[in-house]
Amino acid sequence: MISMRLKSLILFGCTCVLFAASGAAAGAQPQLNDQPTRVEVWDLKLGTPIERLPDEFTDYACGTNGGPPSIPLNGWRDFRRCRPDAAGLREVYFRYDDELEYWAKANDFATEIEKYSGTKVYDFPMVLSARFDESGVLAGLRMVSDPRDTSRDRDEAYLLRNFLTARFGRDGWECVDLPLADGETPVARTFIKQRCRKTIEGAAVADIETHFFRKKGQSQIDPQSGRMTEGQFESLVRFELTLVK
Amino acid sequence: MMSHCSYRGSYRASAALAALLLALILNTGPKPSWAVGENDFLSGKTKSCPGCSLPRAALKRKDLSEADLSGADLSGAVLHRARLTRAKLTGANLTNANLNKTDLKNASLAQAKLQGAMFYEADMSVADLTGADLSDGKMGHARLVRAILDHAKITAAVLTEARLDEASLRGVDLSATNLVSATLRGANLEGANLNNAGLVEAVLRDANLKGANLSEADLFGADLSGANLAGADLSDARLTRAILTGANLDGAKLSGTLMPDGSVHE
Repeated sequence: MISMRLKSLILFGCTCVLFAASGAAAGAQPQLNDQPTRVEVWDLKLGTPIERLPDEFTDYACGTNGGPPSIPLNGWRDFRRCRPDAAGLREVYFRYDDELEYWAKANDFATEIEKYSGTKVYDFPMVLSARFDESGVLAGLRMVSDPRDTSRDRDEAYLLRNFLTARFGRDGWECVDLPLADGETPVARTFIKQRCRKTIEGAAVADIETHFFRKKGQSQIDPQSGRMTEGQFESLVRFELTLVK
Repeated sequence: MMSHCSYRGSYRASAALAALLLALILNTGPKPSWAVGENDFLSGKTKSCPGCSLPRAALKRKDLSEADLSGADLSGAVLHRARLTRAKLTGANLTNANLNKTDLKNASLAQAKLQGAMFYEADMSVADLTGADLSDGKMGHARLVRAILDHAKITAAVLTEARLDEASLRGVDLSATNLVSATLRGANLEGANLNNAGLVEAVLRDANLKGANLSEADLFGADLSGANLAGADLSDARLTRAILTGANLDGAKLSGTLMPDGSVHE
């Protein structure tokens, strides 16, 4: 009888341990609504072979010198379908995955919705592309202000220059202010038409072109109606980071 | 947990309980007999994986139309933008899964466990969600036109700006759910529990709310024109600025209801 009770006690003890273990196992479950992560343009390191690049972007297509996408691609590996440019590099357009944007929308996280909506660099909507050499090594990145995305006032687009120069160090940039071309005028009193270049640690060259002015034919006041116009200006940043050969 | 254990049962009962718990614990681990099926499914060799164990599976943007995942464990899985038209997910566990922007048209999700799952801008039109548990679901802007949600549990969920026109929601539990600006034109909500639901600016035109519990619901500015509210419980509900043109309120309970003209019904 004592033996039976002892066995029973041991078994019951095991039961309790197992029960506790199962509870602990349940408690150790990962948080299922963890914030997903997103790969961004700065995760693309120059000099990386194509097979080692993160492949978590979307809407891959052949690039058009920083313009809208052309031939759709399945991923980086299709880069040879794009024509090489004058520098012999093939441009692949891409966009950020929108999983994080919709995760934020579903959870009604206002800050994250703003942060993760669209394809942006420092919160400025951009057209992004990667440039590959013939051997499939990432040789360049291109970022051009995206006038199609209206989530941010377009007249602020040129301000991205400040964030980019800060990222690569304020000093050491060689800048040239370009003169006004025929018909170009300032926006209010501001006229920016500048090209800057900096060598980054001897391995890459960074080029920034900044525009903020009215082009020929653009004006603040409509000469026909006498009313204020909207959007009649060019505000953009064109940034390229290219591997030194 | 241990502290609550004490010796009470017999040896046989203890042995049975221990065996049961051991079986339960072992059940949570990988099952060799399922591994092949799961691997085949994850590698895209097959779309059929009923009863598979796929927690936290990465299935983003996959084409899973007409896939058979009935009874599968997909808890915490990421199915963002996946194509799941006509997929069989009956009884599947999709707790806390990410189903934002998915295409679930005509999918079978009856009796599925969907607590805390995200369906933002998902298209679930004509899907069968009979008896599904969608409590705490995040379904803002979801499209559920002509979906079947009879006797589903959708408590404390978010359905803001969702489209539920002509959906069947008989006996559904929508208590404490946010349905602000949702459209439910011609929806069948007979016997539904909408206690404490947020229905501000919701469109319930021609909806059948016969015998529904709308007590303490917030119907500010809601469009209830032509709705059947016969026998519905609207006690302590807010109907301020609600449109009730042509609505049937026969036998409705209106005790303490804040009426469209601002008066409180006695």
